[in-house]
Amino acid sequence: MRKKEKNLFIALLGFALIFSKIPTVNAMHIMEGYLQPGYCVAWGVLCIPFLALGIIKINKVVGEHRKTLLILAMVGAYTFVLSSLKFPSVTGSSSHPTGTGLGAMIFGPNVMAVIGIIVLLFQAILLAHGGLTTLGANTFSMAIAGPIVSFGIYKLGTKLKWNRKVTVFLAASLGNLFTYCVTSVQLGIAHPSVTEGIGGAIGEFLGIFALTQIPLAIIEGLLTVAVFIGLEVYAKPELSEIGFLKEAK
Amino acid sequence: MHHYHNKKHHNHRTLAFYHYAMKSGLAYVNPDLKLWVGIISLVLCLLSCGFTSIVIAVIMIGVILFFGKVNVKEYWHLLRIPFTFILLSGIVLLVDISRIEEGIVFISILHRYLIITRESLFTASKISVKAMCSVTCLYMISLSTPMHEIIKVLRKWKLPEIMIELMFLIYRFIFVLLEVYYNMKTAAKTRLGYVNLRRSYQSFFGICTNLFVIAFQKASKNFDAMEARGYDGNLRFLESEKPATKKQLGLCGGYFLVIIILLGVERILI
Repeated sequence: MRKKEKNLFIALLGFALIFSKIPTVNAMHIMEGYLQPGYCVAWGVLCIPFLALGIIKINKVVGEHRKTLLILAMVGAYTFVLSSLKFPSVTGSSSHPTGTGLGAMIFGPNVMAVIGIIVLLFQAILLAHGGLTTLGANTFSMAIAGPIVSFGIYKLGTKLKWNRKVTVFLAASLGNLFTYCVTSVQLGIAHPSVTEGIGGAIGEFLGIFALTQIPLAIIEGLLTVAVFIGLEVYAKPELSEIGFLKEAK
Repeated sequence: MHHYHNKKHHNHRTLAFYHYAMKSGLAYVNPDLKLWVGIISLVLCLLSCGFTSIVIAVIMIGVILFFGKVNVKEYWHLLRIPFTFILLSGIVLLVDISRIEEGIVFISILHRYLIITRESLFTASKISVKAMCSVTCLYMISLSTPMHEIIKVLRKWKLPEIMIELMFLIYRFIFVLLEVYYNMKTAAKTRLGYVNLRRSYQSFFGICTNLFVIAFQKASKNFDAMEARGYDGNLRFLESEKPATKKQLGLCGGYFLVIIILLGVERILI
């Protein structure tokens, strides 16, 4: 534990104490049956181009290095395991990280879309997080929109030579926050408020989920930084061998 | 591939659905049939205004409890978590913010009013009921069909082979990683790694980092092992045939007929 990290932990503790009193809402996944059929199909269709690009990309890299497939599968399994774990917290509320930002930074958002939809399917069936009818909407928010933001910030930060930890932190936490904004928009469009319409409903969902999602995003950011550092130290040879993280220093 | 039955007691809780699916009374029913019944029921649930979805839910719960032989208490325990989320989201749908006093209930906060109108009460309860009923359909699939059979059905649906392969591998690796995770967690616990919240976070972060590194090494070693055994990019498994019987098909046909008639009646009346 270095001093900086120690300070972060203390800040984190404060957050955890404040927010452990609030029942944590799992805002990341839209529940089964929560969207009308039209929206389920629309969000699903919106995901198809990203998935198609991802499959083409995966086929290409796997054609060059078969081993990449196993590493991608491990990343998927890791994302799933991370989402099935609970953050330690005072009251034992069920908050968990998403982990998709990390994959997006290493493999790019398109590849993550494919892994993300598989993980979401597994989460729906094995953990009852999310659902089959809302798979499209959840894929769009968690496996496409969030990772694109994470990837963009990561690339920008690397190009502008920001501090590496700050870049990774910002990429992961803002990706997480963007995911929850998209989820709020999806829910708001599907269930507009009676008095204030779609905008009002989006505002309401954003407001309520902000209480739990902002600290969650910060924790996810910190966790991603920790994992990323470990990754660069221990797994860089494996990653460079198959052509990822080459520019990392 | 799926020999990780009950290896660790903790795994049992994390992947409760997997264990119920493996020992389900419906394990020998054709997986295509189960998947189709579940998915069509889900769609019918979404199309209904509430009444039909309750009928569907009752049938789904009945199927899982009587034919699937899932314990009622355990089933309720599994349902409780999504139901809590649905109820919490229901509150958001129920309450609106308004500048004027209106609706059936209103509470004044900071020059605004939190209101509940007749419409919002109606929509919130309708959506919550539909969502809860949909969850029972999802549970019918997850408590009766093991994941590897679902993946095989998806292969028949002509999903890109690369996705199928990824699914099989991810599914396998989940068990590997969970086991590693619980081993590390036990190790940390015996060394007072979870003695207070700060330590818990330190341990949790450390374990997650290590887990990722181990995941990479395991992926590497797995690849070597698979290549040594002639892996050429196609995973083939011995499959047992589970044909659907005429009786099962008839029952499902009857079920859909009744539900579609109910749905039609509901649409005309409401």
